[in-house]
Amino acid sequence: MIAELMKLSLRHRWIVLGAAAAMIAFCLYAATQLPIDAYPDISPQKVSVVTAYPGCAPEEVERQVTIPIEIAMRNIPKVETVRSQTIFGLSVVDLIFEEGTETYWARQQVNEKLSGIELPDGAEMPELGPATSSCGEIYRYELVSDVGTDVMELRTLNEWVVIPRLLRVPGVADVSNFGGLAKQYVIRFDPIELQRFHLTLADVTAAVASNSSASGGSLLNRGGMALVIRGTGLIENIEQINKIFLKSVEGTPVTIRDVATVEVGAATPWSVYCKDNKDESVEGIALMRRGENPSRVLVRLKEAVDELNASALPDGVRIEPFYDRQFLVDSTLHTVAHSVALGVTLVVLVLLLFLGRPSMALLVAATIPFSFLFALGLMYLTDIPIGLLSIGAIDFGIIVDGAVIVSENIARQFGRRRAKSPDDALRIIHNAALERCHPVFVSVMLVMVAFLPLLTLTSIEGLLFRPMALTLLYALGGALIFALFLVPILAGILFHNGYREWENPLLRFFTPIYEQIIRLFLRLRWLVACLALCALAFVLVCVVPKLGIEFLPYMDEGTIWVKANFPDGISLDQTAHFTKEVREIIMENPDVAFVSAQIGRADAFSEPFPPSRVEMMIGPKPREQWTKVKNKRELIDSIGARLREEFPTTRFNFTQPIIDMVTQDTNGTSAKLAVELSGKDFDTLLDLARQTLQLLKEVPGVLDPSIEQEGPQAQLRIVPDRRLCARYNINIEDVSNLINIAMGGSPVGTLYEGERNFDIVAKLDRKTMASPEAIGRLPVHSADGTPIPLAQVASIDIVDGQTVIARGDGIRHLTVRCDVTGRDEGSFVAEAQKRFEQQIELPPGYKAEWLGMFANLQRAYRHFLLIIPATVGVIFLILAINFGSFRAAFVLLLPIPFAFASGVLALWLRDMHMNVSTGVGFATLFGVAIMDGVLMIQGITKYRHLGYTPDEAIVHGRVDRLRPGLMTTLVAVLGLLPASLAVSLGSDVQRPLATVIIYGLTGSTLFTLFVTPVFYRIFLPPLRKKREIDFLSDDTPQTSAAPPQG
Amino acid sequence: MTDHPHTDNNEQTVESRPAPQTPPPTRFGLKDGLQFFLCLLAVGGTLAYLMRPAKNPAQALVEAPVQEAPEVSACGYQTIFVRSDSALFQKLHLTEAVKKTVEAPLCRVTGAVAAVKNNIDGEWQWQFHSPELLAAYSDWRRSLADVTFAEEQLKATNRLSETKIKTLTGKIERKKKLVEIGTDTQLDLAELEAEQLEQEIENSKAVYEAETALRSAKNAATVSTRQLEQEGIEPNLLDSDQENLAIVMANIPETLFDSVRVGQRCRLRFSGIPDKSHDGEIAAIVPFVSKELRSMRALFTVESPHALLRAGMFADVDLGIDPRDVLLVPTEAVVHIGRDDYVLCRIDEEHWRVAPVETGPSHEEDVEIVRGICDGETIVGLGAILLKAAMIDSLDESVFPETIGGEPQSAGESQPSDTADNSDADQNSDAAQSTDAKSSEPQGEKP
Repeated sequence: MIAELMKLSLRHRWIVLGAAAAMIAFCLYAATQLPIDAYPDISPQKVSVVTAYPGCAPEEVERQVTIPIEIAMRNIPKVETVRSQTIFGLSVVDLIFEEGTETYWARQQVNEKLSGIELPDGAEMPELGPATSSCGEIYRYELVSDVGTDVMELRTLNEWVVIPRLLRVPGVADVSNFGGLAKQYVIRFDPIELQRFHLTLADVTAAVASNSSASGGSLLNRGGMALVIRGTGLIENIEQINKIFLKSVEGTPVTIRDVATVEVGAATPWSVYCKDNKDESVEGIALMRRGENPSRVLVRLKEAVDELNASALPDGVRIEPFYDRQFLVDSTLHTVAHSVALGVTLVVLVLLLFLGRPSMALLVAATIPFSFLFALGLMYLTDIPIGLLSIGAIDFGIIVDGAVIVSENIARQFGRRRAKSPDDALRIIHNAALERCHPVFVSVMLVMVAFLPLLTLTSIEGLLFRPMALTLLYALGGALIFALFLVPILAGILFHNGYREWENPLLRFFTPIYEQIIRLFLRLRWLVACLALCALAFVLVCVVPKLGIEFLPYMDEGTIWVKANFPDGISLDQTAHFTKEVREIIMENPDVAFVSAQIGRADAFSEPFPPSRVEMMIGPKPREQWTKVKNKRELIDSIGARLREEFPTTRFNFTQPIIDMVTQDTNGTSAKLAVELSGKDFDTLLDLARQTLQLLKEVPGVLDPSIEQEGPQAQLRIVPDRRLCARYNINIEDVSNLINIAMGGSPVGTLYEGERNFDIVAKLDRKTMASPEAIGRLPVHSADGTPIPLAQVASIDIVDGQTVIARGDGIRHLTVRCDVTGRDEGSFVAEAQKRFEQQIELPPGYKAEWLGMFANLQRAYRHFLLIIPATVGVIFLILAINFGSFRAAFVLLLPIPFAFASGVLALWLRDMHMNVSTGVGFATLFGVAIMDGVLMIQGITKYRHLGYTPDEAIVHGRVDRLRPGLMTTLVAVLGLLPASLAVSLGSDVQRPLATVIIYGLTGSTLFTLFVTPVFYRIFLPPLRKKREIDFLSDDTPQTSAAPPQG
Repeated sequence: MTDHPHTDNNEQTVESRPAPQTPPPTRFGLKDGLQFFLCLLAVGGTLAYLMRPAKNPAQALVEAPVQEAPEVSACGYQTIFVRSDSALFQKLHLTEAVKKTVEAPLCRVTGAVAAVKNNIDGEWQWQFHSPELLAAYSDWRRSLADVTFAEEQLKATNRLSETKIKTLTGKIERKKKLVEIGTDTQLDLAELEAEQLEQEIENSKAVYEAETALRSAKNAATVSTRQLEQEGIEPNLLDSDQENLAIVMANIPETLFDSVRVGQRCRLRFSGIPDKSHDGEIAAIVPFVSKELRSMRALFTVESPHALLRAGMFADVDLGIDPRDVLLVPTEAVVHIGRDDYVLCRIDEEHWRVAPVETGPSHEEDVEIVRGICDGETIVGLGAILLKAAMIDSLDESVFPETIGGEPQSAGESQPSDTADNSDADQNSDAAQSTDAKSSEPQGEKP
């Protein structure tokens, strides 16, 4: 059928050319419309439900808020996992949906369930987190002042000027503030002053609330005009607060001024942001909406930032970005462009070396832009963005294989006989093309079939490699079309006056030598076969077990993300103090450009982090400026060693921003390995966790083992005594109000400054809350207004309480995590699991699950164990059908294990591990490795049909196909060589993949050149029915020996 | 090598094969050679460029870090080890637990000036902060005056009675003599005796009435005294002759009853004179608990020269400012674990005792240690929190069982027992521990 189509296209070549031109035009348009992704969004679909329950301990929040929400979410369709974290006053429930779930559908489902939940009084309305993904943090900036603006003012500017503007940028889901001090208007009163006028805290709060309101009174008609009636009573400045009426004493009004001092103050900070040498600063983090393209959103963000810097911010204040995803995109683009350019250059040079004629070489090379544009067009139609990782993994050598085979045959036929006329030339070209249509079709189809199982990959590896597989499939489709339909037509146009064949002199010199070697090997075929099998066995037995296994190669994002956990219970100030030292240590390294640190939890209260938690971003300088270290690994190790030496009791984890958040959402932890212990009783869980921690510490290669959830934290617990409260005629609510308002600073009103509004809080004088004893003396007012010291109606003590309660799928759990260094994850986990089974016994009702990157590795490993054999099986069937013989198919499959062994050997020599990237490489390799064999067997079959003896047929068939075989291998190898040697940003995924393909293909080619003929002779498959199309050209053996006489 | 006709599988014997044709010779001219050479050079050059040593070679596997001995670890029950040459150790601020004399108040209460003695028109008079107190004081004064008057009346009545009886008795004696001599009759005598009886009855009545009046006056005085006390003033204080005196009244919450006693020194700061503090003492404690406030009233006397103080002024009263010696440590030295507080005390250069302590009030950057460590012990101040994990490990009795009788304790202090009932065994054990603690007391540095 393919031959018929080819004939048809040759007959109507101008129509075909016109269609091709139209297609190119469309694809060029599509290329301009497609967004570019440095990395695909590999995060799962997640919806977060955040509920604040101020003032309540984690246990209470869990019982009254978290568990009801989890129960309500239980039967939402397509939910894979429900995880939650509960801390003091906050509940965060994360729902992870199945891959492919639409964002707004998922959010709608959750919203519907939320509307039916009943939560206790005091709990705020649950809110959904922003519609972003784990890869959504694309832009970070610092608000900088050259004129000494304080952090409160900076934060105010950030919240009221910068963030509102940035939120208007299309594609931005949220912009959050970190650091600074939240401005408030504080009514600071002394209990004595209240007592003087027999006032209570409730009186003050009620007065503030009732003295701030605006009103509207419809319309007043006056003559011909209508006047809108408007009552303004909102509080707009301190003076108005001072004048708020409280009560009248003997006709004299008592106002706020008489009992309190009103001043501008700051809310109790929960976080501190510092950068480089600045101990306090303000940061903004822009989150991109899920599904948007980062490059486009960044362009618009930067425009907004320029606008703000130019006109909206006060003089001396500006936005200084320090993290920008565009850097990663640009770096990856540069790396990929560099690799692709070099690869294409090498491909063209090799074509020129073998074909000799620039016209023919360029004809073949034209496959590259055509197939690339074809792929872009299909990607546009199937809504797949341009993935730089995908582009970087395209082997343009494989792409041009089809065109190489066809054009090589055309050149060879022209070399056998000169065209007598343009028609003759056309006939030669057409026959040469038709003769090769079948092997080209089969070869390319086999490569495409090898990619199909990659489309079944799921989760992170699926999101990473499915686009790559699709891009390659589309490109191969385009290459096939070009090779079968356009190469003959274009060759007919280019060479209608004939073509002067050119033979590579090196090839001409070595061909006879090769022929002799083949003859020798055929004579010693059993020995050769045994030696080959022994070599294979050696590699499989000795090298494969030494190879490490990991999930993904280290994908460099440029920056370093460090998470530090200081001892539990430490205050924010102390953490900030020690973090300053940490920053100084990091900045000592001359290759570091900046370090920013976030201490505590973000103001949006959506992250359950205590003051002991620090997250730092370290930005290295451009690599060409590094003077101290050679690579990023060295930089991380040197910084890590210094920090661990200076702070041995602090846990440090070194990771990267994107992968950290992605794996956190996917697996519940960002660790390489995590053991999740689930059960009902917390003490039992803690005991098991400690045993597991001790066990992991003894496994070689462990790094930073710890229990993920923070330990207990000291709490000043105030428990009203109901009996005493009754005796003193005090309501529990009065005690709660004292704690919430006077101590906690809950807002009692709002002050409006133009468009901005700030909380009004009523707080006690600082000295009245200096210690637990002082707090005990604070007055709680009874129903009749009598002040009673708090210690008289409540117990006040310091106890340890839960810091974080983590749950997964409805049950509490604790996670013991660690990273791995100096060895591969697979062997580490195997050893750790073995020790766990030997040393730790789980009580009934408790279970342990091994998670982290390791879980992804296991899943991917199981998947590849299925798809690799399936791929080989399908290839076998196709070959068997095509060649009409299982023996032929078997012989053609023989290069595969040798390709595998070569790839494995290469990984071992280059100190690389097996991972998903190499798995994809092997899947690709298996399809490519048999291409040369298909050509070879086609040639041998032809000579056998011509009556040659098997040996002669093998020799002639092999030698005939030497040039195309070498060409296809060399272009495939050299096309990916730059990618396999690249070390810059964006090369991490392609490097192992390219290594496997290059070395595997080299090994399989050597096998096909020297050993496949031997096995063919041993197995000698039966001849299939002769096909006319294989004999269109007049073939003469191009060997040095005289042909056999009939 | 020659081939012979053969039969292949599924193949007929081939009788003829196409005649071999010699392919036309390929011309390889100078141009072709140059092109070939240039291509080869280009390929070689590109490969050389690719193979150049990478400025930043790909990440190589790193060796697993050598597991060195930990810089800090638990090495026994309530004992941790910190390597003295480690970077962590350099961060620790070492200091000493020092005994200092502080005058910080034990507690602070609020009060008001209840009464002030001012010179008004040349006369020293009390001024009160409320009409009720003034009324009570007036009543009290009046009742006292009534008592005085009633006492005087009783005395006078008694004197009068005595005088009258004496007079009549004298008359009767004279009359008897006159009757004996026959000058007067028995009737005259009897009249006198009757008059005497009558007088005695009247005297009794008068005395009784005077006594009753006195009792009433005294009762009234008692009531008014109690009334005055109910209003919060100890009446004796109002009797003071001291001029320029002010009486401050403060409510002591029930929880602080044990902390106050008469004679205790205090410091007062008045809201009207915030920059100046006044020293005083607790002059009296009213024996009533206010039923509204459930608090006890303490009264403080303080000088008020130049009529500085006014009745009704609010006052902050710091109680218990008597200088006392307390053991102070920096607040950062105290680490809270579980339900208890701990301080790290040096045993030797690299070993530290995790001492359970009982803390008292805070004094600015320091905190009182009531029990647990000794004066002069070297402790870890700022940075102690960094050692929390090791401290927790050292308290794990499953790993480090408590040594029998050997657990480190401060001198003379036994561990508070957890059980409500102390058996003899426990007491003996505590005593033994106490004794052993003295012998195991750190021998190290003391001032």
